[in-house]
Amino acid sequence: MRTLFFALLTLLCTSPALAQEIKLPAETVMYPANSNPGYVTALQKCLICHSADYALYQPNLSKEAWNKITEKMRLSFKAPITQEEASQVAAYLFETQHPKK
Amino acid sequence: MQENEISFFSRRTLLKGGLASAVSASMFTLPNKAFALNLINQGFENGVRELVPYPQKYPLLRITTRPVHLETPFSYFDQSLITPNKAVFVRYHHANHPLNIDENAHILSIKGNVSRPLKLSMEELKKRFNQVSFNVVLQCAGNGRALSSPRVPGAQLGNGSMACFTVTGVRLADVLKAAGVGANAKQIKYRGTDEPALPVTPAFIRSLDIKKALSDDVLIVWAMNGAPLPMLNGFPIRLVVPGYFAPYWMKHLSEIEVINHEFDGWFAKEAYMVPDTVDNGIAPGTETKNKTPLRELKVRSFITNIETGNKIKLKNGELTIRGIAFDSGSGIRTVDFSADGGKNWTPANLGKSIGNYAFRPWSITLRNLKKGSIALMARATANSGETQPIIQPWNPGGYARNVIEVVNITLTS
Repeated sequence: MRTLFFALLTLLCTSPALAQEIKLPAETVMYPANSNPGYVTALQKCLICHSADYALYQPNLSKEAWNKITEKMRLSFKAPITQEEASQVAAYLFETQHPKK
Repeated sequence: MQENEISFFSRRTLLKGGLASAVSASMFTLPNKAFALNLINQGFENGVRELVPYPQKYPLLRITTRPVHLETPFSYFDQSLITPNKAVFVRYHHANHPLNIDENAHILSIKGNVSRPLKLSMEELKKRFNQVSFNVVLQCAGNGRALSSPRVPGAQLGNGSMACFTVTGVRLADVLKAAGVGANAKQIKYRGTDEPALPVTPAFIRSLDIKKALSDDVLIVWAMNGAPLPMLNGFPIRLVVPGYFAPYWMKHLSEIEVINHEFDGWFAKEAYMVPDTVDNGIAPGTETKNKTPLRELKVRSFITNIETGNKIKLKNGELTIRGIAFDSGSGIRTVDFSADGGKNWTPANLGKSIGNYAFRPWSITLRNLKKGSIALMARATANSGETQPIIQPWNPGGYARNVIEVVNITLTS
């Protein structure tokens, strides 16, 4: 009886260990195409680490602000891009926000 | 989906979606694809977001897709004081966050300046130490960032990146004491199993002063609201630092190192910094001269049952407003209410406290109202004496917003 009691107690005190697995929904936002060389870099390099909505959901930013961001990506987060590529991506993102009429 | 879950989020949230067409409760039985059509206008420029159902989650506002960043639609906060696990916001820093974890295989290592380094299984963690449970507010450092004026770059959040829930776990102090903290310990440096997409990118590693780490309320938790942590909120364990902003609450916690110096990693020295001024504000658009880490929550209050733009039909000239307030843990002393844009203030009724770290409910019934436009404002004051500013101090990260929010509505007869 005593053994049974402890067996039950052990069972009650030990919550079953869990394994969880989830599947994420697909990405739906993509960088819009334009002729700026930064577009290709955005597709090839920026998308390695983050989805396009990271950039496309930003408020209207100045050219300087975009440059600061792409330099942060290059220098702080070690994005595999040259300084020239970083500035092309900044120009592309600025143009995406401020289309030439 | 259970009946109560449907009523939880269908009451208003989905129906008010800016671009969304009318949605009925029957929508929730449709496959996920249908949700992709649901959009909510957050009320700021470039602020239309998709309402997307994620695993173990109600439809939440998708702030970014990879890494996952989801915000709770604000009207959810009027449904219950405790935020259900399915409604709690999600924010990651790096794209390689785990999607598959076996609790049996997860180990928490305690190492560094300790006399007995530990490798704890989840079973050991749960059995070896005393269990603690209480209610806490979790808030993203950037909650409300998109409302900054002028706007700042970063994840564009409304005010829904917060939650209040019951945590269950063990004291970090007990675990550290079991490991035997060395004499010259200055900080703990800690991380979870999430990794950057590229190995050269700084990993999300944070630090906490040893005094705080050894304080009574810092926990290692495995349950939210009595259930295992959802994967996207840190399964199987996360650190809980009550009264501190979310970046301290490490998800998928796997390693704690006791160190004798101040950790100087990128996410400790460069991220989540605010200007070192009295109100953490500087002149908009200027550069920060001296910065300091953002730690404690600032006192806030929100109206939850009415939103800007609502047109409300008056009944006997009366209107009942309800909401929530919280601070970093001293508790809420008063919530004052103004229905004239801040000229006159009246104390609101505070509801029952469910803990000093939790949301505190409040309500007030306004009488003798006349039709027309009015500006509603709630201002919380904490037991510490801290209160909310009338003008939001600006900082370049858009962190720690706590201005008195204004809800503009129109009353009709």
